[in-house]
Parts: sequence; C-alpha cells; structure tokens
Amino acid sequence: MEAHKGIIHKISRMYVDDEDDQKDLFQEIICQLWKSYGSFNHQSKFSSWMYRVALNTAIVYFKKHKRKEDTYAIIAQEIEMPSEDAETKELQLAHFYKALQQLDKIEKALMFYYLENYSHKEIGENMGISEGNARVKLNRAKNKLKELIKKQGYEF
Amino acid sequence: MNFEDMKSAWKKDSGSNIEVPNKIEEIKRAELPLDKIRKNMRYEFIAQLIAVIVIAFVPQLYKLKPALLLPFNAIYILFVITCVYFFTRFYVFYKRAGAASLNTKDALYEVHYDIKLNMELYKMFCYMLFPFLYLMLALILINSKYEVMLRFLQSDFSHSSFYLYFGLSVVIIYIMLHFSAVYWLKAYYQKYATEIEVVLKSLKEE
Repeated sequence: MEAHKGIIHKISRMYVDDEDDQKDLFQEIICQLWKSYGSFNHQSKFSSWMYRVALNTAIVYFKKHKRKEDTYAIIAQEIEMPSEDAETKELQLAHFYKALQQLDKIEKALMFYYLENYSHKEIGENMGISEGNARVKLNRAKNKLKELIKKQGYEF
Repeated sequence: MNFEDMKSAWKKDSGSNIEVPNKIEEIKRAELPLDKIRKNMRYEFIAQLIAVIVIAFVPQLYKLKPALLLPFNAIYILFVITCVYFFTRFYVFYKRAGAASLNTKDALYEVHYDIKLNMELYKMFCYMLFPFLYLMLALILINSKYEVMLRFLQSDFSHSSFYLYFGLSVVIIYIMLHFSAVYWLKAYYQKYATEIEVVLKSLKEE
C-alpha cells in the first residue's frame, strides 16, 4: 500500500477540491482496498485491481465539506508565468488539477486511465463500456479539459 | 501546456508526504452511501430488538385480562416472525461483500440496486409492522376500558359504522405512514440513488 499511496493521493486530489475531503477520500480508498483485498485475483496486475477499487470508491463518494467559492478565478488572476522550471511544473499541476476537478466523475476516471497510459480497450474493460465508447468519451473529456485550462488563463 | 506536459507533471506528483494508516481501525471513515445505510441498519436493529423484548412484557405491564392474552400472544408471535424475516433480509444485505473491485459500470449498478432494494425493504417493513402495532394498541385500549368495551361489543351496535370508522382510521394511518416513509427515505437515501443514476447515464453508449 505504501508503494501505491501516490496514486491514491492523485485520485483523491482529482475527485475533490477541498483538502479535508481529499484526506477523507484517501482514507476511504485505503479502507475499501483492505476490505476488497479478498477479491483480488493474483493472476491480474495489482495496480489494475487497485485502480478499479480506488476509482469506484471515488465515484460513489459524496463530499462532506462545502466547496470553497471560486478558487479557480482567484488562481487564474494571481498567476504570473514563473521563470523557474520547477515552479512552472508546480503551477501546471495546480492548473491541471483545478481543471480536472471540474470534469464529471466518469470523465475524471477516463482521464486517469489516459494519464496512466491505458489503451482505449483497457479503459473500456475497466469502465465496463465498449472500446469505441471509451474513445469517444475520452476525446470529449480531453477537449473539455483543454477548454477549462484555457479558461483559467493558461496557454494550451 | 499540452497533454504530454500534463502527463509528465502527473508522473512527478509523488504525494510522498502522505501517511498511510497501518491498521484498518486507525482509519477515520468518510462513509460511502452503502456504509451509511449499514450504520443506520445497525442502530435500527438494536432499537427493533429492544422493542420486541419490551412488547413481550406488555401483558404484565398493562395487566391484560385473561381473555385478551390469547389474541395478544397470537399477534405477538406473528409480529416476531415478521421481524425475524426482515432482520434476516437486512442481515444478508449487511454482510454482503462490496462491489468495489468490479468494473465501474457493474459496480455502480450493484450499488444502485442495493440502495433501491433497501429503500423498498424499509417501506415494506413499515407497512408490515403497522397492523400488529395497531392491533396491540387496540387490545391495550380494550383492556383499559374492559367493561365498557365488553358491553359495547355485546350490545346491538351498528357493525357498519364500526367498519366505517375502523376502515377510515386504517386508511388515514396508512397514508400518513406511506408519506412519512417516502419523505424519510427521500431525505436520507434518494439523493445517493439519484446521483448514481446520473453517473450511470453518463456511461451509456453513444
């Protein structure tokens, strides 16, 4: 679990914007992974099984804390292009997560698999939809994400 | 920024400063919809069990007349059988393994089915318990005004007016029961079912 905590953290950050909610979701995913471990078929990859459990948990999770008002607008106004590479990466990531959080729950799951380099076929299998449907929905999610990032005042 | 930049930023986000709890007991549960239902079930089970035990002592508490003991006990036995049936159904649900490791679509269908099934079970449980409680209360009432009720039942009273009042009161109580059950279920569970329906809709083929 320790080796995979980074990926659980990313899923939590994708699905909820509030920091307390992220912590709650992180813990909930860990709990569901422990509870579901009996269903892990050792012939398949542990990471694939873990992604499924984590994403299914995030999809049915209902956040408790109220969303903070318009954090996107504030961030967009405050951003100035930094010169340092590390800072740029950090900012890119912040923009990226803010945009991801605005996608719907299924689009987030599709983007997650895309970022983890899953093929359309694998995405379809994990989501329970056809390969074609996965392709259509993923393209739509990517376009939506592009627009959201542009709206935040960032070049894409 | 482009998608390749995103992927590289995504890979670099390690989240290494997060601590993973070592034991399941250390986890502060956020609670998923089904966990909330299960938690409510646990409380309701305890309350129901206490009610079943307390009702068993009604004849002693209200000093029921010997003539009323037989109908009371018959009603009580049927009440207990009904409770056992529903407790068993609830227990089977309570112990059901989660569907978190299925593919997303199947997992969502399972969760949705479970929420809907339990909403219906709760409603049915309310409707089934009501006649027993109604009859028990009637017996307690007869017991408290035993002589008056005996004279009344033996007199030449009009049966049609009795059935009219009885029927009307049952219908009114059932309507109230129905709406309060629907309101209660809607307030606590419907929002989860609706949100899952919305997510399922977004998974449909295009």
